[in-house]
Parts: sequence; structure tokens; C-alpha cells
Amino acid sequence: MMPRRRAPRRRAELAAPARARWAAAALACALAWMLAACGSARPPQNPAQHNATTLSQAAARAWARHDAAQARTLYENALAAAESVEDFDLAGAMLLNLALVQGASGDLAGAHARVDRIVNAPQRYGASWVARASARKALLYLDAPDDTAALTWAERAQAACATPCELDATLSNLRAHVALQRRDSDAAAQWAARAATQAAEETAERANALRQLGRARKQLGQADAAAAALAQALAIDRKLGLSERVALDLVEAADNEAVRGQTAAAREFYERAIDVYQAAGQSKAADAARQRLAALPAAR
Amino acid sequence: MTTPPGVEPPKVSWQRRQIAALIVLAVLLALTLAGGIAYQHGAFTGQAQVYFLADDATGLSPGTPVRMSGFRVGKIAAMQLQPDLSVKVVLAIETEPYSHLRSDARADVVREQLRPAAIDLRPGSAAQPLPESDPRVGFRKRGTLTEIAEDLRVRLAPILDDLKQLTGTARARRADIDAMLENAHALSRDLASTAHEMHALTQDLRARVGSIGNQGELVLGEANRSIVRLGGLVGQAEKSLDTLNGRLPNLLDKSESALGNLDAVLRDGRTISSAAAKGVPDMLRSTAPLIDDSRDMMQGLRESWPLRSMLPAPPPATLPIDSHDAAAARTPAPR
Repeated sequence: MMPRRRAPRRRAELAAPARARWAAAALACALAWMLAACGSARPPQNPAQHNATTLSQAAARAWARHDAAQARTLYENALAAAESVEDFDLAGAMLLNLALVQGASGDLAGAHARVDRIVNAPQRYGASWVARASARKALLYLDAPDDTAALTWAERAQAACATPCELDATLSNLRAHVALQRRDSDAAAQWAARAATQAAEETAERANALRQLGRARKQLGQADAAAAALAQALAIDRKLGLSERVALDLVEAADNEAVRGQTAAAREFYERAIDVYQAAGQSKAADAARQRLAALPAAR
Repeated sequence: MTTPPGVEPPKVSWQRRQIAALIVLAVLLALTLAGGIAYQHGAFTGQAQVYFLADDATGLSPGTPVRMSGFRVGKIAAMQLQPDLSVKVVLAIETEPYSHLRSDARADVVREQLRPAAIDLRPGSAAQPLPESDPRVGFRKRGTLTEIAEDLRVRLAPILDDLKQLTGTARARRADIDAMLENAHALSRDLASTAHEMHALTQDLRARVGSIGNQGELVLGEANRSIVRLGGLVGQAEKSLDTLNGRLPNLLDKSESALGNLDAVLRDGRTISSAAAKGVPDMLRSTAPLIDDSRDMMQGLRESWPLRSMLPAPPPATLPIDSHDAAAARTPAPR
């Protein structure tokens, strides 16, 4: 008899928590639905803009896997889509991307033609895009190489860039590079230090600034300070996963060690750089690093 | 005996008559002379006037004879300097020659050495006669021997200079020309020896061709023998063909059945491909919208929560502007 009397009570005891769990689950689902509904609100875009955005994202992925031809084709399609609805922001972005891709492929004239479209039509694209286009032109002139023109366009970019200027660190690094090319190590160190302060923490541009600073200090004979700057640059680049820059940091560090007579340390850095270059598929750069390694004096 | 007063003596009367006759004779002579002079000046012949305009009338003067076909027909009647410094020369010619002048008549000034100048009038050959209202003829001044000689001198002088220069050059390059002639001589000698060698080679070749002919006869004999052997081989081949003929019908039967099977297979294949030909285009047409739908769906899924938080963020539309983009910055500094 006992079990018969106790069974309904147990069912009643068990039913209350189950209902509570069901209610909690339903509440969670409703909240999730509301959050999803809120979060999935997309910015209004017409079909052409949507197409251009999608194409530009595909192009960026192609560029990231070093497929310059595919990236160029996709960016050109995206540019056409953006221009078909006069979306000057998107078109300006595509023109700058195309300038980067074409410049990296050695087509400097084509790259200049892209950015010139922005520079020559400030009324369409606005000061912000003109500043970026001027900065891109300055970088293209570094490869010409025409340091004077690069500095001129850097000045124009600085003038067109509204404060706070997102291009400050980049332009300071550019000036540091030109000073290094002109063997003006003091000025190079000053510009690089300024770029390091202007760049945000743990960014690629800050690593660039620290690398320039290391080069400048190496030229000034301040090997310890150069090694410290290069180590910081290396740490950032490793964290960001930029293998080419990691290898470059290692080569610069090896050069610095070689300058101060630390042949073993230099050898170690060179070998690490060669390994990184090889793993990244940059055999030419690896060969150049091997030549530097071979030029080291024999270990005592 | 004396003559009464009032009556002249006969001697005086006779003298008076003689004087009167002399006077009459003198008058007659004067009139004849004047008539001759007038005749000489053409007073008794009909005359016409023509004119021409000359830039230079040197050697011409009033009275200069005018000839036509070598006969004198008139003379220069007057010369007048015109405002443009040309000279109008008026010719007075006889009426009869004038009637022969045409509209393209021309006057040539002829000035031979040691002879007075004359005008040679050429009648022309045009259909229209010379207009009487403006009897102007053409004019041409024929050059004197001196002028022709001067012209020839001007033309010949550069040629003679060139000739002189060429002669000088040839004289200066005489050594080279001698060397060229020597080379040509040596070359001709070489050619002669080459021709001699060619001749010898031809003779040698002729002898070799003769020996080849003999060898050819031998080869032909061998060929005849080979043909006989080939005849034996052909006989063997005939036997083989007989054997083949015996077996060929069976082979043909088998291949016919194989071809029948192949035909059935092809028919099946054709049926399948015709069915596919109807379905595949529709399928291909529906692919593009399907891809678009899939892309939209994937995009929607990618942007919706919670998948959005699980997937990596899409790359930004603008690639960052990085000082490392310049190839110059990516190159290690010289050590």
C-alpha cells in the first residue's frame, strides 16, 4: 500500500522542477531569438553595393593568399559595381586596393593611374580619400625610386588628412625610410621614434616603426638599442603572424649582430630567417639571406 | 647797122630763152629728185604700221630695216620709251606683206657679228589675222654669238670644275686604282686556274661516270636475280593468301556480330545523350539562380547570430595603407 500512496506524491514532486526547466528553456529560446533578430540587422545596401562588397571581400581573400591576378580581377569587378551606382566611398576603396595590387605586381604606371583618379576628383571622393590616395602615391614613388616625389606626396597626404590623422604613423615611417636612404641616420631615428609613438600598440605599423628605428640605430652604431627595437618589432610581427616581416626582422637583427662582431648570434638569426623564408615559399629572399650568412666571417 | 629802140636784138632774145629753158630744166630735176626721195621714203607706196614692246632696244634705231623671208619690207618708223621703261618700236611695212601677218606674228631682232641689226618679221600661223585696231606683234631678241658663248661658258664651267676635281681625285688615288687593277689581274689569273681545275674535274667526273655505268650493269644483273627470288616469295605469299581466304569468312562472321553489339551500345548511348540533351540545359539554366540563392543564404547565415560570432570577420573593403607596402621597405638594408 505504501508504494501506491507514495507514487502520486513523487510525480507531483517531480513535475514542478520539470515545468521550471521547461519554462527556463523557453525563456532562453525567446531571448536567443530576440538577440538573433537584433544582431542580424544588416546595413541597408542596394544589390550593386552588396555585390561590390562581396566581390571586394573575395578579392581581399585572394590577395591574402598572394593571388594577385585573381585579386585584381575581383577588385576591378567590384569597382565596376560600385561605380554603376556612384558609390564613391566604395569606388575609392577599390581604386586604392587596385593601386596596391598593381604596384606590388610591378605595374607602377597603372597603380598611379588608379590613385590619380581620386586625387584629380576631390569633389567626388572627399578629403579623406584624397589623403589616402596621396599616401599611396608617396609609397609608390618609394619604389620608383623617387624619394623627393615621395616626400612631396607625403606632405600632400598630411595636409589633406584630418586630425587625428590615421596616416600619421605610416607617413612618419615613410620619412624615416627616405632619411635612411639618404644616410641621414639621426633624422631617420627621430622619424621612426615618432612613428612608433603615433602607431597604435601591437599593430603592424608600430612593428614597421620599430624595425626602421633598429636600422637607424644600427647605422648610428648603437647596436644594443637597435637590438632592443628589432626584438620588439619581431615580437609584434610574430604575434600578428606576418611571416615575411618576421624574416625581415630576423635578417636585420642578424646584420646588427654581425656589425657588433657577434658572429654566432648573427648566424643563428640568419638561419632562423632562412627557415621562415623557406616555409613562406620565398626562395629568392631565402637565397639572399644565405648569401649574407655565407659572407659572415668563420667562427673562431 | 643798129637795132631800133624798143626792139630787142635777136641775140638777147635767144639768151633769155636759154636761161628760161635752164630754169625749167632745174625745176624738173629738183622735182624728179624730190619724187625719188619721196619714193624712197615710201611716199608713193601704201604702208601699214605694226609695233612691238621690247624690254631692251639696244642696237635698234629708227630706220633699222625690217625683213620678211629675207626681203626688206619696211623699217623702224619710231621708238618711244613707255612709262614702264619698256620701248614701243613702231614698224612701217608695206601693205602687201602686212596682209600676211597673223595674230601670232613675231618680230625677231637679228644681230650678227659685224653686221647691222635687222628685224626679221615672222608672219605666224594663227587663223586670225593681225587686228588692225591693235597691230601688236610678239618680240624675241635672238642672242648674239657673244651672249651664246657666255651662256655656254656659264654652263660648262661647273662641269669642267667637276671634271678637274675628278681628275685630281683619280690622280690622288692612283695607287689605289693600281692596286685594284693588280687585284683584278690576280683575280682573273685565279679564275683562269679555277677554270683549268674545273676542266680537270669534269674529265675526272666523266671517267667516274663511266665506271659507275659499269657498276650499274652489275647491279642490274643482281637485281634480275633478286626478282627471280622475289617470284618465289610471291608464290609463297599466294599460298598464305589461300589459307587466309579459308579462314576469313569465320573472322568476318565474328566481326559482324561484334559490330552488331557495338551498334546496340551506340544506340543506347544516343538514347542516353538525347535524354541528357533535354535535361542538361534546363539544369544548367537553373544552376545560376541556385548559386545566387546559395550565396545569399550563406551570406545571411554568415551575418546572423550566433554563426557571425563563430566565423572570422569578413575582410574590410579597404586594404590598410601600410608603409611596408613599398617594395623598397621590404628589402633588407645593406649590411
